[in-house]
Amino acid sequence: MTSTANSPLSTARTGSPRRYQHCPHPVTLSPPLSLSPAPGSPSPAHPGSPQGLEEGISQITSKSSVSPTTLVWNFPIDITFKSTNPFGWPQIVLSVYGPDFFGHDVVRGYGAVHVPFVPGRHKRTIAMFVPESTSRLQQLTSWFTGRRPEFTDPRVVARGEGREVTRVRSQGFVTVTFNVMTKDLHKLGYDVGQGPQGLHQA
Amino acid sequence: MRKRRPRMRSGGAGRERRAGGILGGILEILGNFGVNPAGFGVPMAELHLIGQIESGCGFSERRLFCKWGLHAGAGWTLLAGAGAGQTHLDEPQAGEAAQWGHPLDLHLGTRGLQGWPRLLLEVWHVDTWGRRGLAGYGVCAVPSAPGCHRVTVVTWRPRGTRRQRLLGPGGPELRDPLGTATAATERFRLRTESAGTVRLRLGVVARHMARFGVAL
Repeated sequence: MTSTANSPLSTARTGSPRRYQHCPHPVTLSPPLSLSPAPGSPSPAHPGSPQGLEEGISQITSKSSVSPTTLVWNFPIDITFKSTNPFGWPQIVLSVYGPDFFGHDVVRGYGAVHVPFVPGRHKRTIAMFVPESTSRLQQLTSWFTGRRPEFTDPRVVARGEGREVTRVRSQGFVTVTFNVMTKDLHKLGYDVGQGPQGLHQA
Repeated sequence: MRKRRPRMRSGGAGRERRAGGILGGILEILGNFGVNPAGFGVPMAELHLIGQIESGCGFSERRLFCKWGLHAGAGWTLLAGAGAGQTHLDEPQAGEAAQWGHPLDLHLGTRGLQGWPRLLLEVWHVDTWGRRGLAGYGVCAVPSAPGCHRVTVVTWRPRGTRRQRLLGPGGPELRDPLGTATAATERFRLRTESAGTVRLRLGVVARHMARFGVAL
């Protein structure tokens, strides 16, 4: 089965006033887009071969007088995935960066959402969060030096393991619109229910 | 004239359809290794749960994390994915809801409908001193209809005595949340009070359910 996602629109709403943000924009696959040969230990035996750009960086945008609370990127995405097992369904991982008071580029938020599997048009609002350190002294020094806690691999946001030790602050939302098409899901016996336009999947 | 060899029935080795051939073969191998102990190569119906624990709001405290666990009857097998986990601890700056965005990706196989999987959620809060206290318990059944669902789980917590409410960060906790919260028979002695709500986005993909005559 293949699934294609086109996304012509992405915007952000931030919780606190910031001047401008840019968004390195990796579309990443959560690790097992693959067959699972044994329960409990998936290994990427046959990684799906996506076509289209897997990663991207948007432009730097800022708020304006006509839109004082919303940042607009309008960043297009066009990607196709292939697999025989819905386990490890692809997710889109977003990282937003922006300047702080001193002009250093710091991370403003991470977030991830699954690409919808029901064909049709979908709008998703992703909450963005920033890791924070537990020590107050380190929070103060990182505010001055501009070296804030970041994930070494943003794809950890797409995984569930290891998140219980993370402390974060959520500060904003990003909106993504998906147009999803699937092929041969029913041939393999999968039932994904009705699309939002009411097209019945027989 | 040679008699045509009769086609294998669908209760057999799962090789009757070429399109599902590879997966049917793998399921048969899994069956031989004991994952499907009821019989060799009997294909199981499968359920995929793909979604997110999005946010929690309406609790009396703001810094929250959520522990989640999937529980199902004896006929269900977790084929891939983690069956339990814990979200990060969030302190919301934009809005009132703690945002978790914790991804769920589970692959279940089953031979029966009894014990349809349920998600047990425990929301905990952490105060500025780092102490952990209970904010609420909630149970929700995994939606049965295939598709994408937005689920709002209402939560509750045990209401202790006045002295217990004054001391300690969270009040009383259940000793066995799984047995008490998910079973229908154990709750009549419990006094609880309402807590906030947890929002989830759960997507369900079903496979081979129609083969067993199940309408979802």
